[in-house]
Amino acid sequence: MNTKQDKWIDEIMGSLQQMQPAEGNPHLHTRVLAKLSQPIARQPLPLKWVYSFSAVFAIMLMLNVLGWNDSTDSNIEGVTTQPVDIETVITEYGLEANYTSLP
Amino acid sequence: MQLFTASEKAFRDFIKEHQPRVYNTALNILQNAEDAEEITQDVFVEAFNKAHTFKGESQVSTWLYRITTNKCIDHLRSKKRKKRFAFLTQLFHESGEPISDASDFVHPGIVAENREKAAILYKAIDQLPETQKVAFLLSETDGLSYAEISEIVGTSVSSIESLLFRARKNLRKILADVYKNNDR
Repeated sequence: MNTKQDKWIDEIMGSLQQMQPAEGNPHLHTRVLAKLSQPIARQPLPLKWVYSFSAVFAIMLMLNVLGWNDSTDSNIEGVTTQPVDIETVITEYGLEANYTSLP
Repeated sequence: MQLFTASEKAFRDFIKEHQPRVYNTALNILQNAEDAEEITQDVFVEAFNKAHTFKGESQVSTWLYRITTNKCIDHLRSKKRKKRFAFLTQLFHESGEPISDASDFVHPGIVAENREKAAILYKAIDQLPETQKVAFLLSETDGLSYAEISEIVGTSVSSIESLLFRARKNLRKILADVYKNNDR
C-alpha cells in the first residue's frame, strides 16, 4: 500500500473542510423581481416532443407507402390471374349471334 | 401552504434568507460563478411561480435544494449537449469563442492554504457522474445528512449511502491517477 499516495489523497479529499459560504449578488432580489415582471416568454417546444412527432410521422408515412405498394401489387396480380377479355364477355352474355367481326 | 404573501417584502426576505444556500450549492455543482448566479435567479423565479405546489411535507430548504439540484443538472446536460456540437456552434457563434470549461475552479470560500488542493478535487469531482457529484457535494460542502440528501434526490437512504460510497471510491481512483501522472 502506498501510504504517501494515500496521505496525499486524504489531504485533497479534506480540502473542502472549513469552507466559508460565498457571497452572492446582493441585488439578486431585484433581478428576480425583474424576471418575474417580464411577460412569460413563449416556451420552445421540448425536443422530446419534436422527436416523438417526427417518429410518428415517419412511421405513418412508411405505413402509407407500404400500404400503397401492397394495393398496387394486388391490382397487378388481379389483372394477370383473372384476365377478362372481350371474348369472355361475349360468351357470358350470349352475344355470339350479333357478333360479326372480331379483329 | 402559503409561502409568500402578496407583499414584495416577504419575497425579498425569503430570497435573502435562502440565497446563500442556493447560490453556494449551484456554485459547487456548476463550478462557474456566472452560471451559478443565473441558476440562483431561476430557482427563485420557479419557487415563486410554483409556491402553490409546496405542500409543506418537507422543509422549505429541502424543496429549494431539490429545485436547485434539478436546475443545475439540466444546465450541465445542456452544456454537455452544446459541447458535443461545439464544432458546429463555433462556426455560427458570433464571438467564435470556445464554450467555457469548468476547469481550474476553486470556490471563493476555500481557505487560502487549501486552494491548490481544492482545485484538484473540484477537477476530479467534475469527472463524476451527475448523481454521484450532487450527492457528494451536498454531503461534503453543505454538510447534509443521508436522510436529507435522500429527500432532495428522491431515493432511499440506503441508495444514497451506496451512491456516496461509489462517489468517494471513484474520486480516490481519479486522484490516484492524478498522483501517478504527476509523479509526486
